[in-house]
Amino acid sequence: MFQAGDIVRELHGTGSGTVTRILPGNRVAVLMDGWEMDYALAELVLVNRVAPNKATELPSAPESLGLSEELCLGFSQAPNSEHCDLFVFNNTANSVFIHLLIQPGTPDGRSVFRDLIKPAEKKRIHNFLPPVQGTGEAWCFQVVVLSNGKEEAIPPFQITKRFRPKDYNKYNLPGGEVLWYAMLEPPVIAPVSEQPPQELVTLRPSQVVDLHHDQIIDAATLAIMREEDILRQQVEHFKQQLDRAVVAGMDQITFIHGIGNGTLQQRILDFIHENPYQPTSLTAQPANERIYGQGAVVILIG
Amino acid sequence: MASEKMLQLLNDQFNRELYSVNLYLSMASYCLSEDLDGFANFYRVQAQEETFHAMKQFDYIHQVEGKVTMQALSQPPAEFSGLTDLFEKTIAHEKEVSRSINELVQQALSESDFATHTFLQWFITEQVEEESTMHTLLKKLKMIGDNQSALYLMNEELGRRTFTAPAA
Ligand SMILES: [Fe+2]
Repeated sequence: MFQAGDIVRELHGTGSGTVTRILPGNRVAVLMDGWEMDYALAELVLVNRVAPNKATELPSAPESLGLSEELCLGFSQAPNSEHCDLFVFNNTANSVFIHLLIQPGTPDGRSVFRDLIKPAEKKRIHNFLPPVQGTGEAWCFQVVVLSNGKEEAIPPFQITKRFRPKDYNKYNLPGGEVLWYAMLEPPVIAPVSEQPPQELVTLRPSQVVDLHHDQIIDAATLAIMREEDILRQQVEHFKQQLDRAVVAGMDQITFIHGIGNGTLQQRILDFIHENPYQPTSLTAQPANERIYGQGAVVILIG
Repeated sequence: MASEKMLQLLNDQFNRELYSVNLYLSMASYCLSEDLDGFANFYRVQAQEETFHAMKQFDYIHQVEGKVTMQALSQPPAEFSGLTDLFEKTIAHEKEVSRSINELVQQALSESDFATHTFLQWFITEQVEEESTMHTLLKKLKMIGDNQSALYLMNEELGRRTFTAPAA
């Protein structure tokens, strides 16, 4: 089903590349990031098939911006051209219907693009858009999700987003051309679950939060992290959990900070002292010594 | 001119890049001690890239009239339990770097500091590339498994990597 030259991507991964040759036993060799790798046919999805004589005709958009779940819109302007190319990338698992409007509600407001984009598809519509950079132009997109990866129809889901120039990221295309792209939040489809949702229990702020680094950072990351970054992450985690507790209206929360050299404890106390939640009051008290020793603090939220 | 807070975050990031240099040199040294000179070369070049990142930030900080403060460097790990462990830790590290770059981007946006925001775009693209390269190598390593001759070829291949300063 694949042929040499096909652009493919991994079914369950983020890698993409070009088929170099067909191997025996339903396998193909794919050139990915400079490596030739061996894949089973079932592990790959066809992204694009370039007709051999057209391959060099147009500067092509990158097959992927390297982001795993992406729904993005990009504009690229060739040097000395007044026109832009518009690209739409859909690397999400869902088919989406994209409706692009320019300045809706003004005399200029017009639809420039309406199309169904399947998963792993990129579309290129060229030569009719004004430059996006520096014009202050606002674009409005409506995205309607039509089906999930299994091609089951799902209820329409609509998002509308207005993009301004600062929302665009820059991507250098080969040949000096630049692609400006903006991410659309990929529409989230809740997986069908047969078990009763348990989130309600886990989402409730905990009464006791353990700030030990091995509780909040995985072992591989911990092994290579700088001490100051570990501390920073512990403080961040503390702030997040305290925030949840305040927002949820809890009257107290316990943080286990351990003993160490006392830096984390000091950062917690400093934060309580500054108290960005005023007029809600925050009071720090030593936690039950018989349970936690000296290593924990209770914060009373008033 | 960048804000105090922005300059402080940039300075932290600069020091983080220097830590990356040391981490990758530590990894290169581990590879050499295991007689994997190609892998060692790969990490050596990686360390050069990190130096390039650091200097790019060094220059930018001065362009926006800031000043760099050198921080004490944490000691990177020196022992690894094998190549898979090595690459898993590399990926964990690159993810951590991406996370901190994103924090900088967020700060730049919240301050409407578009100059710094634009400056950081290069690093975002760079991080996407770094992460994907490392993922590919880890995948390749896992495919190789115990196959010594495949490992030999990979070592040869990585031995050919050279550092070229990226444009812009
Ligand atoms: Fe870096």
